[in-house]
Formats: sequence, C-alpha cells, structure tokens
Amino acid sequence: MINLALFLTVLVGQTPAPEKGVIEIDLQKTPSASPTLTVCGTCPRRSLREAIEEAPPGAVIYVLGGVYRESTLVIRKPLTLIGEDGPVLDGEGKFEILVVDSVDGFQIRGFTLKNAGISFTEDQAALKLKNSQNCFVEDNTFLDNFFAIYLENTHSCVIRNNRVRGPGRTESFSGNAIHVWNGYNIWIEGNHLSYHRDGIYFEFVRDSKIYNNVSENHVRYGMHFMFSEGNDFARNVFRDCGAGVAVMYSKHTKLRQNRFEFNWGGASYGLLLKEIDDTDIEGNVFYKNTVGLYVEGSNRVFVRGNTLEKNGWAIRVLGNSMALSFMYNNIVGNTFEASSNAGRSFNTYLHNYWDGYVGYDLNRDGYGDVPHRPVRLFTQLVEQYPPAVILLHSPLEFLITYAERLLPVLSPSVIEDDRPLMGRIVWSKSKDSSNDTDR
Amino acid sequence: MTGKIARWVARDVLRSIWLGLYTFFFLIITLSFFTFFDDPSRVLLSLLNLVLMVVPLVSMIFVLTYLHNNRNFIVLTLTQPVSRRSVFWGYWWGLAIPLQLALLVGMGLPVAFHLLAHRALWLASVLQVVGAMLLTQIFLGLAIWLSFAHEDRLKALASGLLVWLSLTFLYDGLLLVVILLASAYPIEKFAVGLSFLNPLDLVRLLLLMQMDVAALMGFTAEVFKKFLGNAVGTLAAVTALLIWIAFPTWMAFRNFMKKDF
Amino acid sequence: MVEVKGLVKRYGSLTVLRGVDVTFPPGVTALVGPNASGKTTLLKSILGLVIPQEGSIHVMGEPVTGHPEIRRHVGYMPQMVQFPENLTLKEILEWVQDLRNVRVDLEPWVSWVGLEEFVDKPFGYLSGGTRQKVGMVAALMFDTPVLILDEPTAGLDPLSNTRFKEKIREERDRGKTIILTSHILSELEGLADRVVFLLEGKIIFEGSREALLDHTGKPDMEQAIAYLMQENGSEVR
Ligand SMILES: Nc1ncnc2c1ncn2[C@@H]1O[C@H](COP(=O)(O)OP(=O)(O)O)[C@@H](O)[C@H]1O
Ligand SMILES: [Mg+2]
Repeated sequence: MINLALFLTVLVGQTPAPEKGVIEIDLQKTPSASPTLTVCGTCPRRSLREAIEEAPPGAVIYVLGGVYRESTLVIRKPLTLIGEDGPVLDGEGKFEILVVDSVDGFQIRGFTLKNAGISFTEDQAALKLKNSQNCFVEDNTFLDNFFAIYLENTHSCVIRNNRVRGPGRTESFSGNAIHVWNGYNIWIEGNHLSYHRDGIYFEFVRDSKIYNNVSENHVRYGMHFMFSEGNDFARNVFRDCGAGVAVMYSKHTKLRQNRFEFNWGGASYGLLLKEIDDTDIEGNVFYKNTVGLYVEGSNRVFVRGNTLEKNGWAIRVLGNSMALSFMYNNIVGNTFEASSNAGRSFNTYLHNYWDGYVGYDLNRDGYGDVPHRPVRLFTQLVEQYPPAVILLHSPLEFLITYAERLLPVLSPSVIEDDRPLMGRIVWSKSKDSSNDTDR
Repeated sequence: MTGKIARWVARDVLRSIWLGLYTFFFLIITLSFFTFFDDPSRVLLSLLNLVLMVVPLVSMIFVLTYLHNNRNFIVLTLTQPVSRRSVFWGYWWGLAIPLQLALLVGMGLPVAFHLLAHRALWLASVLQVVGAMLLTQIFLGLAIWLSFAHEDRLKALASGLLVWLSLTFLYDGLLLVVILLASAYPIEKFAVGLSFLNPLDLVRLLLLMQMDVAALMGFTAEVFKKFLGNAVGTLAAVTALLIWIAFPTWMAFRNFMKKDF
Repeated sequence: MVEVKGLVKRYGSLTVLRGVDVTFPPGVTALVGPNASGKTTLLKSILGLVIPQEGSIHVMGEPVTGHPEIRRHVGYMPQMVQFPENLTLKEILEWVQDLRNVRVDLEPWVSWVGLEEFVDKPFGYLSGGTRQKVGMVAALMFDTPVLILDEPTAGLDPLSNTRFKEKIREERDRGKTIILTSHILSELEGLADRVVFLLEGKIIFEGSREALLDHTGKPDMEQAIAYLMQENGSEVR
C-alpha cells in the first residue's frame, strides 16, 4: 500500500487547509520484482501492442522515444507503462489510443498521447479507463485529442502533473480534458488543462480531491460537475473559459482558495451554482468575470473570505436560494455589486467589505453604522427588465445612483448587509500568495 | 471671407477665460483619472460620464452665451460688405475650432500620451475623444440654431438647457419607461433602434461596445453589435451622427439667411 | 445717395413699413418719427439686415437686395455699440478692415477720439462712452459715401459730442449722404439739412429743414415735428 498522506502534508501547509483526506490506492498488485519489457524503434520489440500482449500481469513496459501509431491499444491486465525520452502515441485523428478495461492497477508515465480521433457517436479519448481502479496517470502530455483522460466507472485514481492541451477554441467539436463519469476517490492534482470543451468534467463523482490545477481557455467550462458529492477543490485556477465554472445538482462540496478569473463573455460565470447544497466557498478570488458568483436554487452555501473584484456582477442570487451565508468577503470594483430577483430573502449577508458603501462609522468600531444595500435601483431594474441594460453608464444611470446616495431608501432592500466592514479585509500573506497564479 | 471671420472669432474665443477653464478642467480630470485608476477601462468609463454630461452642457451654454454677448457685433458684421453666408460659417468654424481644440488639449493629449505607453483599449480611447468632438459639434449646431431663433437671452438659455436635459436624461427616461411598459415583448431591437435617435446614446453604446462591459449587456449588446456589424448598421450610425450635426446647423443656417436682425 | 421705392416690410402680421418712397440725397437727413414708427426698420432695410417683402433700395445707384458688396459704400454706427470682449481695440479695427478688405491708417482715427492709451487694451475694459467712440471710428474710417448713424450721440461726453458734430459737417461738406436718427430733436437742429418724417410706416413729410418750418409755421424743428405729430393724431413723445 502506498499512502499518499505524505503528499498531502506538502499540500496543506496553508490555512484553511484542505481536509486531510487519505486517498488509498492499492498498487501492491504490481509485484515489486516485476518483469520488465522494453519497446523502441530499434529494439527487438518494436510494437507496443505486442509488448502489451506478451507482458504478464503486473509487468513494467518501458517505451523509448519515438512515434507509435498502433491504432487502439486495449489493456486488460495490470500494467505499468513508462515512457522514456518522450515516446509519442499517435491516434492519427481516427482512433482512441489507450483503453484500459477492467484493470486493478495501472500506471502510465512520461508519454505524449496525441490526436485521438473525433467521433460524434462515442466519447473517443486518448486515455480511457473504464471499470478500473488503482491507477496512476502522471507526467504525461496530451495534445490535440478529442477527449484526453476519460474515466468511466473507475475509482481510486491519481491524475497528476499532466499537460493537457486540446485542439483549440475554434474546434466546435472538442471533448473534455479530464472527464470522470461515475467514480470516487479520484485525486487530480497539478495538471495544466487547456483548449478543450470542459477542463474538468464530473458526473456522479464522490469523495475526490482536485488541487492545484490550472484549467484555462476552454471552449465551455473550466470545470463542470454535477450529481457529485463530497468533493474538495483547492488552489485551482479556472481562467478565461467560455462559460467559467458550473457546479450543479451536487452537495457537500468544498471550494477553497481557487481563482476564478477572466471568464468574460455574454454568459460566463466565475462560479455558477445550481441546486447545490451544503457547500463551502472559502478564500477564493473571483476576478474579472461577467458574473463572479451565481447562485440558483441552492441551500446552505457558505461563502466566506472570498474576494470578488472587477466582475460585471460580483454576486447574483436567485430568490429560490435559502440559508445562503455570505460573510467576510471583499467586494471591490465591480460594475454591479449584487443582484437578486427575490424579495427579502432568507439569506445572510454580514460583515462584508463593499467598496460601494457610502455609509459612515461614527463609533469607529470598524463597521458601518447604517446597513449597505448592494443592489442598486438600476441593478434591480436590469434584473427585472433586462433590456434596461441599454442604459448602462448613461447619465440617467448616474442620476439614479446619485439620487440613491442622497436618499438611500430608494435602494431596493433585497440584499442588505446590516454591519458592513469599513475597510478591505487583508488576509495573511501566505494565503494571498497561495492565490497567486502561475500562468 | 469665411476663413477671415472664423480666424477672428476663434482668436476672440480662444482668449476666453471660460474656454481656458474648460480646457484646464478636462486636463486635470483626465490626468488625475489616469493617475489614480490603474485600469484604463475605469478611466474611460469615468471620462464617459463627463463626456456625456459636461461636454454637451458646456458646448451649449458657451455658444449660447457667446453669441448673445456678441449679438450686436454680429449685426455690425452683417452691415459690412460680406455675405450672410460668410458670417454664418465664420462664426460656426470660429466657435467650433476653439471648442474642439479645448477638447483635444484637455482630453485628447492625455489620452494620446497614455496610448503611447499602453496600447490597451486604443479603439475605445479614440472613440471617446472622437465621440466628445462629435457631441461638441452637435451641441454647437443646436446652440447656434437656438441662439438665432430667440431674441431673448434668457429664453435662449432656457431652451438650450431644456434641449440638453431632454437629450441627456429625458430621452433615456422615456426609453426606460418604454422598456418597462413593453416588458412582455422582446424589446431589445426596438430599444437599440431608439438609441440611434439620440446622439448621446449612440456615442455611449458605440464606445461601450469596444469595451469589456459590452459582455454585461447581453442580448442588447448582441443586437447592437450585429446591427453595427453589417454595412447598413454602420452607415446608419454614422448617418445618425452626421444628421445630428448637419440638421441643427442647416436649420440655423436657413434661419440665419432669412432672418431680420 | 440712397433711393427707396415702394418698400413694404411686415414682421409676421405686423406691417411696419407700408410702401415707403424716399430719397436720401447727399447732405444730412434726419429720420424722425415717434417710437415704433419704423425708423430703425427702414435703416436696417438699407443695410440689408432686414429683408423687405416688397420694394427696392438703391445705394449709389446699385440695388441692395442680394448684393452684400454694395455695403462697401455704407458706414454704419449702431445704437448699441459692441465688440468682442477679448480682442484689443486695434484688433477690432483690424477685423473690421479685414471685413472690407481695406487698409486704413488707424493712428489719426485713434488720436481723433483720444483713445491712444487704449489701443492694446481688450475691448471688455472700455467704458460705455469709450465704446461709442470706437463705434464711431469703425463707421467713419472707411470714408464711405453713405453714413448711417442710429442715435449716434447717446452716451457721448459734451466735448466728444461737439467734435463728432464737427466731423459730420465736415463729411457733409465733402458731399456725403448722411442719415441720422436721434430721439433728442435738438441734437439734430444744427446738423440736419433735410427731414424725413415717418409715421406708422408711411412718409408724412420729406423735405428741407426750411420747407418743414415753412410748412408747419414753427420756429424750430422740435416744435415743427411736435406739430406734425399732433396733426396726424399722434402723441408727442
Ligand atoms: N425683428 C422684429 N420682429 C418683429 N417685430 C419687430 C422687429 N423689429 C421691430 N419690430 C416691430 O416693428 C415696429 C417698428 O419698430 P422700429 O423699426 O424699431 O421702430 P422705431 O425705430 O421707429 O422705434 C415696432 O412695433 C417693433 O416692435
Ligand atoms: Mg429705433
């Protein structure tokens, strides 16, 4: 048994720490004195297919540099594939490349998998793992594939430090970078994912950890997950995706210290929550998204210590959300601070720093003496009558907002922070630096 | 002769303390925006408010006041052996050039210097300055028209303010009412159409479309961009702005040519 | 020489000149009449400021309507003198010269009105009477055969007034056509050779000063005019 707790200690140096969940992946089925095979262009064994067929279960296959065009390779036994000097498996735009089916114990390292074929009838992937468990996908490069890493009915896997680059934005038919359907105990860490349809796609995924990934420039979502439970996302960057990040029909999710940024477009969201229950959103940065945080039909969502900066809308909350708690967040430099289609809602907004607050703090306790209503009259008009947005930045909008300053009662009270903070919250240095992006 | 008159008028106007203050005001504001806001789009959006409110108002009031203060001299000019046409265009240019210079110095120069350093948003920046110049020209035309249509200085000023208020706030207010009343219908196209009729709306939307904020305007932005995207739309926008310059000027000119002074 | 024939001017429904036929020969003609009788309108018609509905006006034998260049023969001093505030006296006079495409030596004119020290001061600094003098210079300096002076003496100090009258006589003697209005009839007394009396848009009397006195049997112009007004059912103003 390899206990990954060791890796965890490296990860959790900062607060709030991701939970010390232990992912146990059983690799004992690979015997320590495994038989090894070597494949290369000038070796006696030049075909990876033959090596896979010949290898006994648990064998280690070393593949040396070179391009291997062997259509689809199916693996049905525990194997370790190690690429040395960057071997390339080429799907030639037609084939799936590696399919691992019903295997307990599979590892792949150091490969480049490219050009997995596009199919409109099935999800063709560069690496597909189905009905499998205990796998390691590490230090590989995936280029221009339809789907890149595809897990189906598979659990207890580590996907780490891979570079995954899809065919590009112009490609209208692209698959996902990491796609997981029905799995649990998946550890996705340190990957760089770009130019796919969705960066990370989860459906029916439980108890998984997603740490330190960068997911950017995807056609649709940087991350998209639904019907999932108990997943933990920390210190990821979701950047510049067509629609941002969407999280739907899921519960018990933790989203901490991630950056959601530059998701800017007609229907883009830093983070979209739809029918999400019991979820923590802490210490994230939402920067320059059309909508920073969008919440719809969700209950018991705790939004704490986040910074929402320079978004179109910092938060949009639909009225059917309940027991949302929005506290100690910085809301700075957004066009609209908040918007909600509801009447007085059953949600809590407290102790946030809103830079649109024009109140005062006479008793100098650090909190404003009058409540802040972040939903402006104009915001509310736009919420209820979207075409009214044509007046954005018009003198009339200026006039309305100015009138509200003089007569705060004019502002809608759908959202009210009774004790807004007078100054921006500054967290400890370590936490801030953990949020720095590494482009 | 038009040129001679324009040069003399411009010389007089350029020495006006009010024009100096206007230039200085824009210079200070623009420079301080560039200094205090790290974000060029923030600068442009803050300037936009000024461009939409201050530029038309100042152009209107300045021209109305100048023409009324100089009414008797204009009459004296008309008794000289020069055609009315020359006098009209002499004053038109003589007022336009200093006002445009004020904008170019007060806003154009800082923006240009900023563009030299940072290319960001260059199209929007250029549009901002050009938009301000177009609005100046439009309100100059309106002011000349109103000035010669009213003998009474107060009436002229009052009607100028009314026109300014209508274009700046009232029109958009009515547009908002239409949008609220017609909320059951897809009104975006109609609203975009109406925005073409008001030069302030048109200049504002043209500018916003060049900036990130367009994404906040959803379907409305799509409609606007799609319309502007084809030749007819671009032509319509340019035509609308030119008509806003040409029509008041033409009315003023017609009035001036047959007026009894 | 200015000839007006059949001049009709209406402002909307208000008819101000009802077929005016009058000739202003060389010499000084006083244009008199009660308030609102149309004096200014007549002068403005000659100057092309007002566009009449009917009739014709000839200045030095050339038709005025549609020919702005005819005004090179005319010098005009308005009732209210005003110039651009930010320009100096010198610049203003240069401007007016530019309008006429004529260069005139300014110095004698400036010293004639005694404004040497103001030459480089903006017009906005000048007092009312001083402004009036500038207006006078602007009207006289081009040596035009026709001079139209609307209430020229209002606001002048006595000394300037005397000098001004001297100048007018001088110009008359040089054969110029001078048309004057003034509401102070005594002002016109020593000046006018001829009188044109306008009432409700019609010429009631046109002739020499002597003819007027003969016609009315009064000793001076003031009384003669008063008599004419009474005759025609008008209040003495
Ligand atoms: N531009 C104008 N528009 C309308 N009515 C005018 C205008 N100018 C003068 N009037 C009217 O015409 C009449 C004659 O005016 P005016 O020629 O100034 O008389 P006077 O100089 O003899 O006092 C007056 O009733 C005056 O109100
Ligand atoms: Mg008069």
